[in-house]
Formats: sequence, C-alpha cells, structure tokens
Amino acid sequence: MSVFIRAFEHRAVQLQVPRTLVTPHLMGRTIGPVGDRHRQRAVVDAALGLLAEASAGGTVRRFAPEVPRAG
Amino acid sequence: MSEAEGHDPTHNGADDGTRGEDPAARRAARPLTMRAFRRSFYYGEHADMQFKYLAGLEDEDAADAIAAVLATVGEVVDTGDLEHLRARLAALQAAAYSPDEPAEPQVDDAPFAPLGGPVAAQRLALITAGGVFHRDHDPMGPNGPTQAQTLSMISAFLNGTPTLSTIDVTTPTAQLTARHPGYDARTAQRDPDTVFPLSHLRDLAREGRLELADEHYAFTGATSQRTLEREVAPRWAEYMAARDVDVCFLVAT
Repeated sequence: MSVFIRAFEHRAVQLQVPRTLVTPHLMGRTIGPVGDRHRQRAVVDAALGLLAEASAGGTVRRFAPEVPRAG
Repeated sequence: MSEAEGHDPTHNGADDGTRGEDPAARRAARPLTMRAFRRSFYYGEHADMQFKYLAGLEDEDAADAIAAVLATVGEVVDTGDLEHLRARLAALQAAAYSPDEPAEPQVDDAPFAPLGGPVAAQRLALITAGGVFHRDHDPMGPNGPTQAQTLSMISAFLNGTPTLSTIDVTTPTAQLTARHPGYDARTAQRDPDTVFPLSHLRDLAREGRLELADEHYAFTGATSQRTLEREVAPRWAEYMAARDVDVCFLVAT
C-alpha cells in the first residue's frame, strides 16, 4: 500500500498512483514551508487520513491549508 | 516545459564561447536577449531551481511571470504576508509545468491494495525523492559534491541509476542533509521535514497512531525514470516487503 504526496496535481494524475495527496506548496517543500511544523504535521495527518479512507485506485485528494481567521 | 527539458544544460546563455573574457566586454559583444535571460535560469548563468521553468515559457509569458513575482514581493514587503507570496509562486510554478506535457514514466493502470486493518497496526516506511541522506553516509562518497556543484551534473543524474539511502528511524533530524540537481535542496538542508517528514511520523508513532519501520529511505528523483521504473523500484519494493513494511509514504519534490 502506498500514499504519494506531491505538488502539481496533473503529474500525480498521470502517474496513477493508488492514493495521492496533492499539496499546494512550492517545489522542494512538498510537506510544507521551512520551519512550519503545524502545516507539515497537517499534511502528514492528511496523508494518514487518505490511507484510511481511500477505497479505489487513483484516488486524489487535495490538501487545503487552514486559513487563519481574520481579526 | 518542452524547450527547457530538451535544452542542453551545458549550453546556456553563459556558455557561449566567451567564458573567461571580461564580463563587460562580453556583454557589449553579445547583448542579453530576453530569450537568453529566461533560458539562463535553467542551469545557466542565473541557474535557479525555483524559477527554472522560465526557460520553457514564451518571452511574453516569462516577462509576465517575473513582473508578477516582483509585484508580489513589493506587496509583501509592506504586508509581511509570506503566505501570499508562497501561494503566488506556487501558482506560477504549477501553471508553468503544463498539463499537456506527458509525465514520465507513463502508466496505464492504478493498482490498489486495500488497507489490511487499522492504520495504527500498519508498519509504515517513508521514501522521499528529495535526495536526503545521513551526513555520515553520503551516497556519493565522503567527498560528494555540494548542492551547487550538483547542478552541473544534471545530465549524469538523469542518465544514471538511482541509489537508495537508508536512514535509521532514530536518526536525529540534525543529522540529515540533502542534495539534488533538480530542485534547490538548500531548503531540505535547512529543514529536512519539508520533503522527509520523519520527525512528524515519530511523533505520530509516539501517539500510537501508527507503527514505524526501522528503516526509511531516500533517493534522488532526477534520475533515469526508465531504470527506476523497470529495474530499481521493483527491487526496492521487494527489499521493503522483506522488512515487513505494510505501507509506504512516497514524497515527491
């Protein structure tokens, strides 16, 4: 079993990996920005969630970072 | 990105037969064009792995991208909103790596193995394509190249056979470093968790949410995709299966 974590969704879809978590991060920072342990942990948690919940090959889920509330 | 990827990185805007001449004289003899400028980001005079995609854009699109970056930088100087800058840069990268370019390797199926029980009972290994390795175990030997030196070796990497680095689960993050000719691995040198989140997985294991394998793995994704797909990856899969690994987290860069 595998979970693939990467940016650039179209590449992930073309590769047809069983489970893919697409992150909205810059090249070379797939898990999150330098020093942002909160974001990095959230990505890893999301990957675990995908592992638990995916029921078919080619499943692609987009990681959406929490947006800080204004004020 | 066809132009950039088909572009010989040993022939860039800077390598025009005038290397070694006085820079001012060289510039006077050969004024910089927009085409040469954008191509110089792809392993050329202005090599920058974060902006190498500029080489593959049309002049006008490259100019628009550069202007957008500068405008956003100016805005963030005032607002301090780094996340806005990151999002802008990521959107430009994603748009540049065009969906109409075929990915390598090309595959025609999506084999799926259902989870064989609770996630917490799965033995998990991490694999990154980000070129991470233990500082004392450089896969290119004790005098391996620096990140900057690696950029000039991109062709050798792309035609080479990948090496799997093994990283013990207990390895302190400070003992990890990275090198990669396809992205700016100085990011992973600053924080290996950006592409190799082993410290987070250790936290999860301590919380009882998963079981970690004794070994975790890294290789340099800039490699022969054909060799990786047909020869090397199947061997690696067998190696990991023999170590009772149930699940792999694969991290691309």
